[in-house]
Amino acid sequence: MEKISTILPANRYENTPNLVLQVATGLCIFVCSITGCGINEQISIPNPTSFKIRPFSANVSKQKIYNNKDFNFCWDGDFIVDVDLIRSYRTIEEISCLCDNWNENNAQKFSSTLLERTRAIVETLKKQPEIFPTANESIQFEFEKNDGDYLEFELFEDGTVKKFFYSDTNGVTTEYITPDDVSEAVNKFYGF
Amino acid sequence: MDSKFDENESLLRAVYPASTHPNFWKGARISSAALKDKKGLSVTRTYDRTVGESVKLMTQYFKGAIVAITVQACNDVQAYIKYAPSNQNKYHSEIHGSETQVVLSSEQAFKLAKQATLEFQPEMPNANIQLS
Repeated sequence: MEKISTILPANRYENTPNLVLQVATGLCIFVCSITGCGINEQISIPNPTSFKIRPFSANVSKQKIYNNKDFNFCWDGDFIVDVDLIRSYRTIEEISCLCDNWNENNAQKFSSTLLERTRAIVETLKKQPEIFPTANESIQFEFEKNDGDYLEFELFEDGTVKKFFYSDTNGVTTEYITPDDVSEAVNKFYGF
Repeated sequence: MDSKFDENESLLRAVYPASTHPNFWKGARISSAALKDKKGLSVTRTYDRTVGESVKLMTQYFKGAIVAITVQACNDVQAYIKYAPSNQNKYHSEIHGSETQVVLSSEQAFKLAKQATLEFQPEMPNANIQLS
């Protein structure tokens, strides 16, 4: 079960010194428990300095409130947690725990190379996908809008990326792109 | 029973429930990822049985939820259905992208996943839910 020790209820806006210290301590020792492997494991959060987009945003000084859907983080320090990115990390971690024959039809486990590439790509995205393993030696990203438009990427073991787009109004396209193009394609899909 | 599939037949596929890993569910629908298998997508054909009868038998051998894809839906996306009986299951079949391509294309998998109906969930053993 995921534990984020510093989540505050949405209706609290006070910022007390004791609370700030607790939040700072909690974020410095950020532990997520997952049960996908049957044991509690610590998800290793890569060094933030290597990110293009950090899971922890820096320099929010003077801003006491960060609002992300159901969570308000009252914080007068340096870091804010991107919970959607953390969720993606957790899903990738679960996929990394799949063993050979995980689908009971001889599907192989995923290589560390593909998993690292997957993590690297999600860190570049402004919007996080739904992430699924396939028995086709790929990890799949899915994005879907309310109007039914759908965007999918299959990241293959051999390094290729297949992009699939479906729209009731604009038709269907399938093409191979590079990993570096995924972020731009997502931005275009959402109009960022 | 032979390799000819009637359009009124259904093809049943077991899918891990959302409570286990890997999770292929997007709310009440399955991801197209659940239908992509480079060894061929294994399904159980109903043939001359009802979906209910087929599901009841499947739950004796398969864990998880069961979704149904119609032969009509497969024909609509030009998927190829191969009758492949085994010692354990005389109704066993596979859905391929074509006669020469085992894996479903992205478009085929996407459309079939949208068409798939949920026929059985292990948390609700007496339910016969059809969701689109």
